[in-house]
Amino acid sequence: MTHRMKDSLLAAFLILLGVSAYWYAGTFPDHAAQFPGRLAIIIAILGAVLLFRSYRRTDGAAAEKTLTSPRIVVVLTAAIAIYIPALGAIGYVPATILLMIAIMRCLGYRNTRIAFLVSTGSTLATFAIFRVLLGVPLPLGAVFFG
Amino acid sequence: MEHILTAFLNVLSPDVLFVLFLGVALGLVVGALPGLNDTITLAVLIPITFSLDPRYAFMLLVGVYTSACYGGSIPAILLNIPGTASSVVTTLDGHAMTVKGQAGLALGISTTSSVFGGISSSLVLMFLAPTLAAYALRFGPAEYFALAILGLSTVVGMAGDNVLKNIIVCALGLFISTIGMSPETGFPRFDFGIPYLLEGIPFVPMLIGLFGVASVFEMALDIMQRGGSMACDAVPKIGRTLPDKEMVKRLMPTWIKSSVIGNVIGIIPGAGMIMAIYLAYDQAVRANPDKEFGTGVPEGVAAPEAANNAVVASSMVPLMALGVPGNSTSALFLGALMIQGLRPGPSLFQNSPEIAYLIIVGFFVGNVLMGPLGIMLGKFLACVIFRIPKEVLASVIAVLCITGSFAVGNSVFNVWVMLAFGLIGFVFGKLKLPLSPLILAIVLGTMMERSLYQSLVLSKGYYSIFFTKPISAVMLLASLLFVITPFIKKIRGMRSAS
Repeated sequence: MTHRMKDSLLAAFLILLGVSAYWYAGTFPDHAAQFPGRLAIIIAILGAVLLFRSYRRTDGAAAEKTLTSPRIVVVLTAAIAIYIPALGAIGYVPATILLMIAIMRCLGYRNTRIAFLVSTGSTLATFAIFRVLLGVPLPLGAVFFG
Repeated sequence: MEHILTAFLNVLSPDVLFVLFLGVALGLVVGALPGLNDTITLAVLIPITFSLDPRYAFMLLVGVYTSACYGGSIPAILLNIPGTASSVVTTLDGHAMTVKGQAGLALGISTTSSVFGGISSSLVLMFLAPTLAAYALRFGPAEYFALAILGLSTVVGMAGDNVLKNIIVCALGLFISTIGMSPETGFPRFDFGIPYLLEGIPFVPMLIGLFGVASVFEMALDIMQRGGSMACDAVPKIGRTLPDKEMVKRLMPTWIKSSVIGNVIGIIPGAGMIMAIYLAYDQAVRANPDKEFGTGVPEGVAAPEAANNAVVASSMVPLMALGVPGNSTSALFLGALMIQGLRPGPSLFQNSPEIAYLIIVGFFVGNVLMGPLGIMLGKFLACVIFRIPKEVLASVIAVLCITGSFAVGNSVFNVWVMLAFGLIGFVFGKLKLPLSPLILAIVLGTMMERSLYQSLVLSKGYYSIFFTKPISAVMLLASLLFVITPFIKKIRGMRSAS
């Protein structure tokens, strides 16, 4: 992706955010709307300035060197997004062990024995610290504990 | 003085000292691990500290913050891999010294320089923060509004070529701060009917996301690009570590100048450690024109190492005295203070002096502990840490982030917030948008809006209140100078070029 494309995308996001936030702030009572309303205008203006500047950049067409697409970030995000509801369903310990193994596999770690040992060990240690020592009610899981 | 002595007695009690020792050791480990740093570690640790005795909680955090940037110098010197961003410059002469067979001396110089810089900054914190806080007690809403403007303008002023992007990030941070109930009317804004957002976006999960989760994503991308974990060369042999008297005498001017640079930059919100290390290295180069820097010059190690540690405690001055974090890491202390039910700023010294002075003295003692601990652990860290596969490390950090976010409010919603801000942090990194102005603006946003409203109520709607009050007027004038300085520099540069 070129610098110009990156800046243009950011600028478009800022303009969209500014306009929609200004419109939404209009639904607030006067005092509550003033600060965010003005900020929204500033954000939209900054977006326009960035857009203008991105087309004047001399190195705008130069592409940044990226060897890998950020697909792995999407995969990890999806893994965590699946993990969050799984926390309540199957409980912290099994969900976390599975998540850790999944992350290691996604990143290309192939030593299954170490992956299993590390994930089980660190999950149990974290569970003991947070649940037992600090009293944090980490989910036990609706499936097993109702 | 009485408070300082009491705090010394507190810190030196065996249990508190042990926790501080653990913090310093942990800081060294995370600093030495490429991909981890003090900010990520504090983000992960804060949820753990909330149920601890405040003395233990803050000593743990102070210990980590004190030693992490020094820890970064160990792999920088031995393996030419900076453990943290603040040790990038140390690689230049530090690793060159290793290549010349002076690894031990380089480590020794790094240790003594870090201790010198760290102690200087803890003294600055010890004497400047209470004085500034006592002065700040006289501040009214107009002064607080001007202070918020000053804090944000320093970030813009220090942006270098990145002024527009810093302003954009500040505006986004201020916008995020408006989510939740309006400070004047209590009207819910941008909450989309989600009750968890009524009090704004949860601060600690947001920080965990921005620093912890974003770093997991970065690490993952790095592993994929390299096609596996980073391979590590053999650790070089380390001989004598401590510099002799002659060397200490030779490095003293560099330590003093670099520490002053680090102290000043630490106090300015948003200026950052990177600026300090480059400025310190630059002054060392200028002060020693006869030496060829980059070939293993001891001053080339001493300058950045003294400067980065001199930033550490100094960056706590604006937070503790005014409630304005000096950098991202000190913003995490803000979160830690908040979850302990404390309010950073001038009232901290009035309402909880025992905690305020405990933190200050903790930085001093932490720096003293860092020297011997660093020398003992240095070689061990370089040998062991690099054998941990990055894939394993990334998964452990991810789980600590998730568990920590959940623990802050025992809420799954916090984990979603963490994930969302993890993605935002990652995107910010890719777009080269800095994170510290975002945090600063989020912290200052509510203060700015509330004090603006209160000032206008006091002045019956006249904006002149900000200029008729001397402190506020001076701060606004300083803000203006900070903002226009980069533009003036640019115009001058263009003129001299033409």
